[in-house]
Amino acid sequence: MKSFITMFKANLKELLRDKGGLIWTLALPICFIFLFGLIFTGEGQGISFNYILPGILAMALMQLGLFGSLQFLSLRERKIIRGLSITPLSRSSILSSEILLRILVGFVQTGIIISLGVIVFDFSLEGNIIEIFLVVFLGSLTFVSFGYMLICFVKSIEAGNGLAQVVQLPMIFLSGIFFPADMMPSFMQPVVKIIPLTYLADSLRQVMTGIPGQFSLAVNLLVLSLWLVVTFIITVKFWRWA
Amino acid sequence: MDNVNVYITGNILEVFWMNETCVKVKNLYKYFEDVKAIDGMSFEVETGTIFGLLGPNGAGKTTTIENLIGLISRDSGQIDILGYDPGEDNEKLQEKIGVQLQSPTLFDKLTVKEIVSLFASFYNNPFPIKEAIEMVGLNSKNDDYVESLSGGQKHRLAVALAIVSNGEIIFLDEPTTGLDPQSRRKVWSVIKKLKQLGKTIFMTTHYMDEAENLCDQLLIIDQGKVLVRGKPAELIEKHFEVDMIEFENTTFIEEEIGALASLESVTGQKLDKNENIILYTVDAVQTIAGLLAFSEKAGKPIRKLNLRKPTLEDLFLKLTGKEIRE
Repeated sequence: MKSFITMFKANLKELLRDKGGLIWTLALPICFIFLFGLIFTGEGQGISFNYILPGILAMALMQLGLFGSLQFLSLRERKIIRGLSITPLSRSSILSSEILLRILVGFVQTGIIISLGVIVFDFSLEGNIIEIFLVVFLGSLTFVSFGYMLICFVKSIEAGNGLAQVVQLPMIFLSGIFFPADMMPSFMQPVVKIIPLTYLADSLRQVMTGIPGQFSLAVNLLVLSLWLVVTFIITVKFWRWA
Repeated sequence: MDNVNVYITGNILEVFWMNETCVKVKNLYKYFEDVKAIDGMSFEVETGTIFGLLGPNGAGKTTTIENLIGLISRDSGQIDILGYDPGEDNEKLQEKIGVQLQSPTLFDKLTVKEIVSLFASFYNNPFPIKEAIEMVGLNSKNDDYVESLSGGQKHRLAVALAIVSNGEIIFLDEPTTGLDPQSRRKVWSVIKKLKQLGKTIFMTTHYMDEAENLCDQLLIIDQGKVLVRGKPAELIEKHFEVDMIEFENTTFIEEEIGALASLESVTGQKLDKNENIILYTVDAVQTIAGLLAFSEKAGKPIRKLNLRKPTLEDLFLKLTGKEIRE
């Protein structure tokens, strides 16, 4: 437990001191909020800012999971994990301290995005905060697991970054975070209905704004949980410590 | 007076602990595909000594250490470290040992003090953090990020991380390779200090002077096999009951060189790669007298005459027919 806490602190310090990483995790969602806030708050828009904000949050959580795993990839490829593995530090402490940090960052992002939305762009938050954070928790965990799965199959940061980009781009465009997914052509619908970001965005919209979802909340959470289980199993099967 | 005391205590300890070993290796094998990295090694390490694994690059030094600390698994053979079997009791073993790996990499954005504290937190009974940093001479860098350290400083930091484990055995894989002379001496003094604290040091090196000055026991290995083992001075004495007389071969013709072998007390001769003539002798004074007479008679001068004891370098050359650094 002691070494779990010290590892958590070390990870946190690395994150806070790495300016590039900090901008990526915090500034980017903020920029998106301002960008879309300015575009969508005018009258007569087809899509409201209330629809967009939960989608931006879902996207931020996805990126946190997919690109956050590159941190472990970097530790592994720079042989820092190897150096740690000859100490009594347990492997579960290495991973669990990372995962906890990732989820806490997700909560901070959620707080910032909601506050900015409410204060600057009149976002009407209608929902139970605890419910929102529970969905954020499940979503973060699913994408953290997804990210760890991806780095099982690459050996360099560059390749890991590329793979995460390849995965995130279709998700951003097909998950309906910027416009309702049922506006997509029908041949795209199977893809829309598979990708986890669709379900995270849909459930966040429901618990944050009360906008009726494409699916019921139960279906959303079930599919997200399924993604979590499947990516977790694949990760465990193909995981590499060195 | 202090020195005498230390000397006596040291001797008494040696007598008492003579048979106490903390590392036992029997018939160790490790092949990487068709490379025989470790090809049947057996050795023991006495508690409280500085044990050196000496050999050229590729001899199997790092593979041996990695086997001992449980970082890689062996093909066959037995390893017993402080009663534990690496590979099976890794968790218990890791609590009892400190390790410095070759070319260490660390968290870039932590300070020296933070990273030593981090590693200290992994152990139940760590070495005092401040002292560990002082021992390797990095106290002035306490609050500097790891990424701002020079290569040599990072290397010494890795040694500090091995120290902070407060392990009974400290494994150091080439602790001075690539260091400047000043840092090297710093690391040497750290190793001696650790021995004074009662630690066993298991180190690898390909520096002869380091092995000769530092190690109580040496295991000279090549191509995964043990060549010889023993105290550095005894090894040399055992294999060379002689002195070496060395001089530049200026104008001697082949016949004259041949005649040198029959000089008084000479037991052998050879030409080294710089075309110096080397005579092995059991009585250097007699041989030199004979050599001077020979030189005068032949009318050929002797240049750069040098009388020296054989070194580990000569021993390695004798055992393998090659220089240790290639």
